[in-house]
Parts: sequence; structure tokens; C-alpha cells
Amino acid sequence: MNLDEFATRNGEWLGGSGPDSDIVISSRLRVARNLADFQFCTRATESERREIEAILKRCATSIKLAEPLEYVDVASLSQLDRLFLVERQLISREHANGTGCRGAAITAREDISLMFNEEDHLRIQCIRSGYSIRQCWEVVDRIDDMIEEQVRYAFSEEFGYLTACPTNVGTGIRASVMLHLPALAMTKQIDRVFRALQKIQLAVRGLYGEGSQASGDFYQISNNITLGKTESEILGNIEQVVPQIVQYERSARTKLVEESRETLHDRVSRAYGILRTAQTISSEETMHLLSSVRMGVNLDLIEGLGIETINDLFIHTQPAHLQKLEGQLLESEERNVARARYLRSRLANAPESNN
Amino acid sequence: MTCDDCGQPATVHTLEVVGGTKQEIHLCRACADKRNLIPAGKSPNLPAVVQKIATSVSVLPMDMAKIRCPDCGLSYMEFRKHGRLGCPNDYLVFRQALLPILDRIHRGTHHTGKQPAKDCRIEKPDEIYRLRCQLRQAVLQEDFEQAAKFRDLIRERETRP
Repeated sequence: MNLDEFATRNGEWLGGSGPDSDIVISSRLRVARNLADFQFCTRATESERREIEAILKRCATSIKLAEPLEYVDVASLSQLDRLFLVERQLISREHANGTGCRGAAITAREDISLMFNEEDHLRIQCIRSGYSIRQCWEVVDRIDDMIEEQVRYAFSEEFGYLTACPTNVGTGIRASVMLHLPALAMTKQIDRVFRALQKIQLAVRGLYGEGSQASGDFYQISNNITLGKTESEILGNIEQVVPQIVQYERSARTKLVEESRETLHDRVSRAYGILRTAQTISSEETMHLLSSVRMGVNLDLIEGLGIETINDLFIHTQPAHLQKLEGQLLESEERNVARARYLRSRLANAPESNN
Repeated sequence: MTCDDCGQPATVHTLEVVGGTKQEIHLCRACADKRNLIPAGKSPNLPAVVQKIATSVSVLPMDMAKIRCPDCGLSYMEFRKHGRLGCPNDYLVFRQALLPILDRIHRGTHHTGKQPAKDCRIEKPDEIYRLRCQLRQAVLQEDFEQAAKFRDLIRERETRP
């Protein structure tokens, strides 16, 4: 698998299509599975890890999918390439920074990815653009069945699918929906939403999962509970709140336009202006400004600029992506200059902000 | 009772199951620390939630502190320290202690979701699973003759149609 080729394009999940894609960036679901005949990864010896990976690699590359899974030897990748896969949400940060024999298998569209020897022997993930968490589950469920035909999973009648960490046991499922909520953040209603979510055992995280900051007003909502509820009930819990939050965000945006159109337009235009002219810019500032521009595009305050371009800029201005596009390793300061140059070139021919 | 390692009065008493035979261990606090038998106050990069819950569940069956999984060798104290289990069998070995922890995390303790199409319940281990456990034990005890025997038996079973 050629990762340099990856860098020039985008995964399906950033396509800006799919239901409610003005607010729901993507839906992602993974299950955790372990092989019954081996110790969990933390205790497995290196030779056991190699054996585990060989078994799962054989299964993954043999199953029949519309698009084949291609194997990536994560352990032998450069640090830059590993970070690159994290930015694309194809592997976890833990997997990138892990040690010992470990791998992944990914489809060319980047909608399906498997991780071998992460915290658990196997993680199966599906990620789609827009609000499509049920479809993600259908895909993962089917792949899970196909792999189960070939191996013996660690399963207990009482506790379900057994995982290294008790927080994943049972269904092993983690379903998350990534939302862009700039208007709720701007009107300071976001904390109220989060408090409500925590009451029904849903977690809120930033763009890159556990412990990450909610930069660019991106929030991931995911289930905390994996045991004692069926997969369908877990998804139902998320499905109950996401449309509501999407609705809140839409009303907040409408209200902002009605009550303070000029202020909002000014903010969006300034953000757009900085992105088109800056000479050096940090990743954080870029995310912050792109968030405003993205909302501006959705509210027709900027015309002729597609959501897919904005989504594209979000990912291509991340550190590893930028370095891959530049074809060399860059220090933080150099990255800021390269990022500004990249943004100027991408937005040079874009239209002006609406008047 | 005196410490097995240094002869000082022993304050930590544990039971290890090695190769199917029980072995009582008596240590003083300092030697238990050296052997990593006492849970540390905190340690980084853990699933903090599990660790926090595991240490707050104080109604621990007394024996739990002494139990080690015969398959992977993990002790309950090591689980408490790191928040991660060592092998599928740990869920059976530490079941009593895990129940309140699982209840706290998930507000439920019984799986109601998807079931594998074939029977792979660890409550009913198959032959290969047993052999792998025996292989691990043999390697741990550096009995490489036995280990080779188990390895060959596993290979034979695996290639069987």
C-alpha cells in the first residue's frame, strides 16, 4: 500500500456528503475482538503477537468485500506515516505509538480499517461521511461474521466478547458521531448539551479521540457503555440525541443570522481573509478559522466554495499531511510557513466573501 | 511469620498457583514492593476510570488479593494497578471482583448483545485452548521439552481438517 498516494486524495468520510453533512462530519463505529487461544496483547510475547497477526492478516485479506483490504505493517512504518494514518482516522494514536508486531488492513476508499494487536487482538472499524451510524454497524457486523467463521473469538456467555480493558467488554462496540457545532459554541449553549449527554452515559471528545481538545468546534459523541445493552440499543441511545443536537445547532445558526448577521458575516469574512493571506499559521488557528469559514459556507455567507474543499483543508493542514505533501520532515515553525503557503495556494482562486 | 526474601517480619501474604500447585508467599512490605505485589498509588497511561473504580470497590473478597490466573499469571493486584486484564480466562478467575467494577462502569453485568454463530464460550474451553495454556506454563517454567511437545500437539490439531 502506497501511503504517498493516499496523501494526494481523501477518504470517503471527508467527502462532505451523506445525511446532515452540514453538521455531521462523519459516523464511525468499531468493535473490539480477541482470539480465545491467546493472551491479550499486553501480556502476549512477541512471538505470540506475530502468530496473532499472521492469523488475522490471513483472515482479513481473504474475506470477500466490494473492495479488498490491503495490509499495512504498522510496526515498520516511519513515525510520520504512522501519524499520517492517525490523522486520517485509520489507526488510533495508541496503535501508532505502540510497540512490537502490529498491523492494519485498509480499503482504498478508507471506509473500512482493521487494526491488529492494538489493545485488543482485533479492532474492526467503519467510517462514513455524514450521519450514517447504522450503516457503519451493518458493515462492521458483516466483516465480524466473516472473520468469526475462520477463528475462535474469546467469548463468554455471561460477559460477551472479552476484551483487555473491562470498559470494552460485552459488545466491544464504540460508536461515535463527529459533529461540527460552531453556533452552539459561539452562543455558549454547548456545555448544557454536554451535561445532558453525560446524564445518558454518552461521552464527548475532541476531533482525535480520547483526551483530545475540541479544536475547530468538532465534537465526537460516543457510547460509554458496552455491556448489558444490545448493539441496537447502544446505537438507539446515540440516534436519540444526534438529530436533536443537529436541530439545536441549526436553530442556533438561524438565530445568529437573524439577530446578528453583520457580526457573523464579519467574523466569517475575517477568518476567510486570514486563511487566504497569512504567511505563517499554526494548526490550531487554522482549525479555528476553517471552522468559521465552514459555517459561513453552510449559511451562504461565502459562495462558490464547496464543503468538500473545507473538509479537505482541515485534514491536509494537519502536521503529518503537510509534511507528506511537502515531501520532507519540517519543524513546527517551518510547518506554519508551509501551512500558510498551502492555504494561500488552495484558496487563491476561490471566490470572495459575499456582500 | 518471617519474610521469604529477607527474614524480617512478614506483613504481605499471597498465594500463587504455579503449574497447578499452590505456593504460599510471605513477605515484608519492602520485599513485596520489590516484587511489585502492592498496588501503586497511581501510574500514568492507564485506563484511569478502571483503575479508579477498581481501587474504590473496597468490599473485595479477601482471597482475591492472593489469586493469580493459572493461564496467564496475572494477579488481581496487577489488574488493579494497570486496569487491564491479561487473558480471556481472567474474566472467570477474577469474576467475583470484576462484577462490581463492571456494574459501576456499565450499569449492567450481563451481555445481551450479539452472539457468535459457533459455540466459542470460554466456559467450555476446547482442546487447543487447553494446550496453549499448558504450553505457556511449560515456557514459564522453562521446561522446553514439555513445551515442544505441546507446540507439536497444537500444530497437529490445527492442521487437522
